[in-house]
Amino acid sequence: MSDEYRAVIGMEVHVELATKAKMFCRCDASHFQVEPNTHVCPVCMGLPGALPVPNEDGIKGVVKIGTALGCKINRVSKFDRKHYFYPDLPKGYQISQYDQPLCYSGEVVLSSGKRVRIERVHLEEDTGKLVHREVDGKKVSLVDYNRSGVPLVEIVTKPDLESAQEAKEYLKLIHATVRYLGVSDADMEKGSMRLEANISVSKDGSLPPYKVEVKNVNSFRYIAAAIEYEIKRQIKLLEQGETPKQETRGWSLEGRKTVSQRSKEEAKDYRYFPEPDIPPLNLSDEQVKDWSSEIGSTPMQMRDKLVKLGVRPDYVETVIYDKKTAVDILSLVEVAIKEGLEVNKVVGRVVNKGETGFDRGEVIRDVKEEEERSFADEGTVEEWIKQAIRENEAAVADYRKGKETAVKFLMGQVMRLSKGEANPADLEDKIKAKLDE
Amino acid sequence: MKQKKLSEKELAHLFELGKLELAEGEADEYATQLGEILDYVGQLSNLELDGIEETNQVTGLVNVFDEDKIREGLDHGEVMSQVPVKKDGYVMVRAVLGGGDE
Amino acid sequence: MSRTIVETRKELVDGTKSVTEVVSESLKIIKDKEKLNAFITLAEDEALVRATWLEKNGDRSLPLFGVPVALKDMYLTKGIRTTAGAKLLEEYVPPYSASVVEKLEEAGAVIVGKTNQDAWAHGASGENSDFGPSLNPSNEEYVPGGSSSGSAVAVAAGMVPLAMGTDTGGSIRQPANFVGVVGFKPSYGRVSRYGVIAMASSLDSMGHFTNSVEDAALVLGVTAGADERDATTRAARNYEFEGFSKKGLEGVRVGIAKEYVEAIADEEIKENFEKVKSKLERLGAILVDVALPHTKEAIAVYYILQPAEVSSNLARFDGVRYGKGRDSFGKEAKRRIVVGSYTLSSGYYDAYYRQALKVRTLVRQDFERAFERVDALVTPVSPTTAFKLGEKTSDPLAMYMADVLTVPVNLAGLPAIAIPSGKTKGGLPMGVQVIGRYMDEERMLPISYELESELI
Repeated sequence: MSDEYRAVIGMEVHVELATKAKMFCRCDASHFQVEPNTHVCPVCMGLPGALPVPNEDGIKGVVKIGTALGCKINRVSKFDRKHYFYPDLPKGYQISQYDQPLCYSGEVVLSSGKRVRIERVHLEEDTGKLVHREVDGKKVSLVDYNRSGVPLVEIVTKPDLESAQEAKEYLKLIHATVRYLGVSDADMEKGSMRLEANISVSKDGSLPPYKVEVKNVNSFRYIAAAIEYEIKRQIKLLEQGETPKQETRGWSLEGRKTVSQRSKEEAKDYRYFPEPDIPPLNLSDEQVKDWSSEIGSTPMQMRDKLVKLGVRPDYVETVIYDKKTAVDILSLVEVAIKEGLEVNKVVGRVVNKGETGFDRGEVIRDVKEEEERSFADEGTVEEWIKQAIRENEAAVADYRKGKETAVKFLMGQVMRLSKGEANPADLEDKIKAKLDE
Repeated sequence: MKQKKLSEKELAHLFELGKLELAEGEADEYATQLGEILDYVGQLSNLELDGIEETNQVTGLVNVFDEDKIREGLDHGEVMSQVPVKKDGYVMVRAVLGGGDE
Repeated sequence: MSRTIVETRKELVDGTKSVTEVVSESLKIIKDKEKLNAFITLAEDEALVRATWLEKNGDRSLPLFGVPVALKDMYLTKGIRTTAGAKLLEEYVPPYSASVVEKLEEAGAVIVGKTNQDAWAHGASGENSDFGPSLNPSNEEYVPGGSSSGSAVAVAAGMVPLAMGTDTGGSIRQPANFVGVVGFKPSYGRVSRYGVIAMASSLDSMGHFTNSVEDAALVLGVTAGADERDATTRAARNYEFEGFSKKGLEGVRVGIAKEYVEAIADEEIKENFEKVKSKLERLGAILVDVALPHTKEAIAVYYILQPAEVSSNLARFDGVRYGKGRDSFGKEAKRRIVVGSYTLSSGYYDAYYRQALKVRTLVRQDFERAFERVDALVTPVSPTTAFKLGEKTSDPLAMYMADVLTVPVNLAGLPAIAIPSGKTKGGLPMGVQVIGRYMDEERMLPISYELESELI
């Protein structure tokens, strides 16, 4: 990307909470591969006379997510009605949160140390599902309200992200955090985690006067590709002196590009007002503490712990996205330290094998064995080195000429001569020292 | 009496927000009546109300929420019996392009 | 047929009449007086089947055993058409019943039908009904008031001793006043709203029409209490009714608000109210002048908040899952939806809606201050008596202004009851309103009972 342009990216992620019952009624919240319109009641169908009653675990779920993302928790909070017409929205309004979200002002720290600010985390209800079909030659939409009313958490960042890579890492951390907490399975294919990126490009550091929303992309890989494509597309337009249109775009798999879906010409007037059917929330410190105490470690905390214990950053990035793996690796590292073993050797062994599980005892044993294996004493090693130098004049000459790889060749020769009894750990240094004498 | 009338554009926008149809020749009547009503209730905007709390709720209740427990809902047949147009257990509508929440 | 629940029950328990006889009598009177157009749907077959069942299996000690009851058509009744007085729901048969309906039936009541009303409860005369207006039994050229017009008529005309209504800005008290029966509005959140078509969610109260205060209290004993399906009733106590005993109003402080008295337009109502004041004094009550300075602003507050909530609550009626499409809405509904959208729209929210929420606080505080000095307020119910059909239909704003004496009570969520207090020379009923502290029907109903006994 050309130096004068800077991408300005904000992410909006929706996470479906895996509660047993829906958010404002007690219908079964499961809706994946369930017969249509069988987990419904007057409330989630928007029948006349129905009234909402909040689900405690929905509120708890949001507070846990917000706390895990370093947010402040709004003790005083409420629900608001957000109005718009759409067939999957039975009441003609969605119960959501407007100006008093449950959580605000958090942050996610990326592996580079970059801080991504979380603007807010709030609670709302999901809509029904639309299926598009053709019936009797006419295009129709079929609506299933099983999903209507399932608790949904919305996580919004400030536009702090600056690249597709950063966005991808951010999303992976959110995904992992939510799964660590056990509040959602965050499955993008099933739709229990949904991604939205707001992308614009700043020419001179000022906030761009537009933003393009990219939606309906359900994998990290594709959203990263979409963001990259978008940034390029927008830069091209800006270079031509045009301002990119404020709109919503989707990702076309075949075309490998973003395509316009809908013009965001006017801001929608949602006519928010406080939900009169639900008394406000005034959570006690005790209540919030109680709920927050169930969190345990977050992926970011695991990263910090592992790094502090000396694990290589690239190893850390491989293990923290799955809670069980992270926890197992942490305990492995702790044992390794206790046993005086080199941490990265131990972790490296697991990571490089690429298997999902490992036997801690076995790994420790293997590494111990390797380290304790009797190596030849200093004097014997020196003799082997001298011999290798004597027998490989060409390699020595190469080294004098400046070829560093010659040392590796000589190392191999020493190993051969020693039949593996030379400790490879410091062999390279020893050979160099001899050559430089 | 001061009479404020809503403009045609405003009226059309409001009808759209409420997903209502404005019938031919009715615009004037609505614009006038609505103007009167809004004029009347608008008198409140003249009051000095800094520091006065808003009353959203007279019950004084807070923290009403229930245990995450499943309770039986409506029978599929009962729900669908009132649906005007349906297919295969779904509620059916004319195709909607785009739309929804942005 | 007996006019009160108490008398009706006595006959049934004594065995003087069977449930089937009582219910049949009720149905006959309803049909004889069809001209009054009090009912939209008659549940004749269901009622008779239930009567037979009750006769054989019913527990005679139940508080509403065998009592015929009519329900305003805002109350959902499973399997019985429910229209809200609107063409849009002309064919709607709900798959569930309101919590209150279930409570009434558990108490032994027999539902005989669904009563007429202004469509969507939008109105104060009954003339906004999509099924034609109801007529005032006192004089059929006059409106019975609204929006619970049919329920008021059903009780006034002796069709049933109990009819349920809803009161959002006076829709029980005003028609009760116009037809000459008792109309009770409970504290907001005392009776469950679940299963009743919502008009304005923060203002709707589920009340009822009876021929006596004692009956009204008896019914509250059945309907009051927390319902897990209505979050706003979480703190609602049950109402334990054990009957009233007459002991006068010695030492009871009754507030008279000058803003309310000043709002009376009819001379006869003015005189009548003075008479009511002297009767209160005769009972031993101490009349105290109180000020409710924000009475006038209350109408503006109401006509911002209520249409806003109406526009929201009517958003679900899109013809997709039930009912007809939105082009079936009448003019009054459209007016309110549009006003509501306006005051909630960004750019106007602060000037209108937010301001109204603040003034609502002031209205509430007016009452709180008054109740520091008095036990109850007694006020007129309406600036005028019933008016003729067609007299006010061309001026919506004028119709709204007539709510001035009832609306403040809804803004504060207080309990209130309209009691008949006489008739004009022309034979039109007049009444008074007793207002109590929030959630304190226990104090306000006995006071009303005493006053009623003096007015009969």
